[in-house]
Amino acid sequence: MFLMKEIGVVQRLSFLAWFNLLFLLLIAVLGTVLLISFEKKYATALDLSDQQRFIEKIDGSVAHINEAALQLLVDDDDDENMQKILLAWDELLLGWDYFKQIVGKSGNPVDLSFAQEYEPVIHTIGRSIVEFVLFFRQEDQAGAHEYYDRVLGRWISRVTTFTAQSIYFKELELERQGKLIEEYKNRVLYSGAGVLLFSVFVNLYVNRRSNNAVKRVIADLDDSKHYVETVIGSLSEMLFIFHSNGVVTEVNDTVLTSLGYKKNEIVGAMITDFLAEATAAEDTADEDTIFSDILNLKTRISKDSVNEVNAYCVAKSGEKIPVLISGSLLKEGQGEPESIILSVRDAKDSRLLAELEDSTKNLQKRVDEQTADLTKAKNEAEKANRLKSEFLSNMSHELRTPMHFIMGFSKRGVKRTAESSVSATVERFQAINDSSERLLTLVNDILDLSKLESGIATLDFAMQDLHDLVEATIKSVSVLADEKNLVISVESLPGDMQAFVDAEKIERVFMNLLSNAIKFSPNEGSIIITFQESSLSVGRRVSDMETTPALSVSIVDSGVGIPDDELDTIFDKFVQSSKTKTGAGGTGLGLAICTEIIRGHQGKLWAKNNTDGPGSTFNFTIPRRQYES
Amino acid sequence: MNPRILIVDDEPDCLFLLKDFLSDIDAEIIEARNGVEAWDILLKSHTEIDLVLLDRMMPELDGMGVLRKVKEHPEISKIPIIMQTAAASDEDIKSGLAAGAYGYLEKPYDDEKLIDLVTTVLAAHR
Repeated sequence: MFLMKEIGVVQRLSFLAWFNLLFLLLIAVLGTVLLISFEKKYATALDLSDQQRFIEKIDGSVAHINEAALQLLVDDDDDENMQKILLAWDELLLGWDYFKQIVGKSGNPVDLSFAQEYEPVIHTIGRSIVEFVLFFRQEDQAGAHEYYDRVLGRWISRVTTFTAQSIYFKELELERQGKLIEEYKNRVLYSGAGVLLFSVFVNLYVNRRSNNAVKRVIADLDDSKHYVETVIGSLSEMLFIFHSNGVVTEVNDTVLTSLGYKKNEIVGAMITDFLAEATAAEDTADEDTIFSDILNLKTRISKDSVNEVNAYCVAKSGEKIPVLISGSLLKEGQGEPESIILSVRDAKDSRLLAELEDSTKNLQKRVDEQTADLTKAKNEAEKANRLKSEFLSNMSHELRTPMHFIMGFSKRGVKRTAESSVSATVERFQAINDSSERLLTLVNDILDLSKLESGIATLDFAMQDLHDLVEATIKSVSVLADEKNLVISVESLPGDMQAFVDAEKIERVFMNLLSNAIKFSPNEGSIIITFQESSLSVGRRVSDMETTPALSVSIVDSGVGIPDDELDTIFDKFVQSSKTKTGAGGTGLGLAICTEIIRGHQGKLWAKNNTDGPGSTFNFTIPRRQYES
Repeated sequence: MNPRILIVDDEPDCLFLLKDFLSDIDAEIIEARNGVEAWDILLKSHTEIDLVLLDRMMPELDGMGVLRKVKEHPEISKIPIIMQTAAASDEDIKSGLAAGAYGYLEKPYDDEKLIDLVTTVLAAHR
C-alpha cells in the first residue's frame, strides 16, 4: 500500500499550493504599493492646474496691461487707462508671487527653471510700464507711442510668447509623463500577469500531482475498503456495527444470509430488534440486559467482559437462534468511541465444534488403545519368538540328553562287554533302556500336544465319576508318593461327581498335576485334592449371564510355589517354572497338554500360590455336560 | 598319585556314564549332583582336585554360576574346568570359554573324545 507515501505527497503539494497563493498575494501587494507610490510621486507633477491658472492669469494680466496701454495711446482719458494698467500690473505681481509660492512648495525642477527665467521678464515689464506712464504724465503722446512700440509692446508680446511656449512644453512634458506612467503601469501589469500565469501553472501542477496522489490514495482506500469488506464478508461469524445510540450502521453478508433480512431492513434499525442476551436464569431472551444501557455495554466491552456471551439472534422468521456474542469498541478518530462491533457466532457451531473435539478425543483414545494393543501384540510376538528359541534350546537339550546316554552306553557296551562284569553290562543296558523310554515319552508328548493344538485329537466323551478317576491316578503314582512319604488326601462332595468327559484325557490331567505336585513337594509333605460345585458362563462374553453347572477340582501341594509373574506362563509350551526347572524329568510340555485337554472340555485351568502356607494350587473347572458353544 | 576329577551333573545317568568313561584312566572320581554341592566340595577340598567336569544346565546354581565363582576365587581358579552341555549353541560355548572354561564338550560325545581332552588337560596342569 502507498497510502502513507501518497498522503505525504499531498501534504507537500498542499504546502506548495499555500506557498504559491502566499507568493501571489505578496506580488499583488507589492505591485499595488509600487503603482500607488509611483502615481503619488507624479501626482504633483501631473496636477498642473495652479500653474495653468497662473500662466493664464499672467497672460490675462499682460493682456490687460497691453489693452490698457493701447487704449491710453488712442484715448485721452489717461487716468482711467492708467488705473487699468496699474491694476493689471498689481495682478501680475500677485500672480507671480503666488506662482513662486507654489513652485517653491512643489520643488519641481522644471517649474523652477521656468520661474527663474520668467522673473527678470516680469521686472522688466514693470519698469517699462513706469516709463510708459511717465511719458503720458509728461503729455508726450508721441514719445509714449514710440516707447510702447519699441519697448513695452515688445516685452508684452515676449511674455505672451513665453507663456504660450511654456504651455506647449508643459503639455509635451505632461504627455511624456503620461506615457511613462502608462508604460510603468503596463510593466507592473505584465509582471503581474506573468506572476499570475506562473501561479496558474504552479497551481495546475500542484492540482494535477495532488489529484493523482489523491486518486491513488482513493484507489488505495478503495482497495483497503474492498479488502476489509471482503474480509468482513467472508467471516463465518455475523458482524453487527452499531452506533452507541443503538442504531445499526453496518452488518456483514453473513448476518443477511443467517437471519434472512435484507440489508436495508437491518441498517438503520435498533440493535435490540435483532439481538438479546440470554439470561442465566431462564432460557428466554431478556431485553433488559446488556443492550438496554449502551453506556453500560461500552463499559463492559472496555472491561473485556463481553466475550462469548450467550445471546439470541432473532431471525426474520421469528426464530430465536442461540448465539455467542463478543464485543469491541470501534474508535473513529479522537475521543470517545461512538460505535460498537459485535461479532456473533452461532452457538450450534460451537456445539458442533465441541462434538468434533469430543469425537477427535475418542478417536485419539481408540488409536491409543489400538496402539497399546498392537504394542502388546508385538511384545507377545517377541515373547513368542523368545519362547520358540528357548523351546528349541530345551528340545535340543531334552533330545540330546537321552541320546547321549544311549550312544555313550551302547558304545561302551560294544567296546567293553568282553572285559566288563555282568552287573556293569546290565547297568549299561538299563541306562540305554531308561533313556530310550524317556526319549519316547518326549516324542509322544510332542505328538500329543500338536494333535490337541491342531484339533486332530478327538475327545471320546462319556459320563464319568471324576472321583473314581482321581483315585485311579493316585493309585498309579502311589509309588512315587511313598518314596517321599507324601500324604495324598481327597475331599469329595456328598453328591455325585459325574461329568461328561474323555476319561483317558482327564486322567492324564490328574496324572500330570499330581506328578508335578509330588515332584516339587518336600519329603513328608501333603497333597490335598478337593472337589467343588461350580458353574461356567456359557456365552462367549463375560457379560452373558447364562451359565452351566460345572465341577471344580483343586490340587493343593506344599511345594516351593511359583513366582507370581510365572503363574500364567507356566502353562505355555516348554516353559518350566524357574524354581522347578531341572533336568530331572519334565519336558515342559505337561501343563501345556493339560491346558489343551481342559480347553477341549470347554473348561479352564489356572494356578495360584497358597495364601495360608507354602506351595501352590492348581485348579480346573469343567462343565458337567458339554454344550454347543 | 592318581589325579582327582570332580564330576558335576544333576542327571544320575550322566554321572554314571562319566564314571564309566573315566574308568579307562586311573583317576579318582568325586561326584556332585548339583552346582551348590559342587561349590561346597571345591571350597572344602580344592587343593585335592585336579580337574572339574561341569554340566551347564542344572537347577539352582547352574554350571556357569559355578564357573564364575571358581574364577573369582584366587586359589580355586587355578583348577581347570571342562564344561559340558546337551544344549550347546555357539553363543553358549563362546560365553563358557570367555568365562574361563578350559574346554567345552557337547553331548552326545564319545569316551575317546572325553579321555583325550581329560588327559591333555591333566598333562598340561601336572
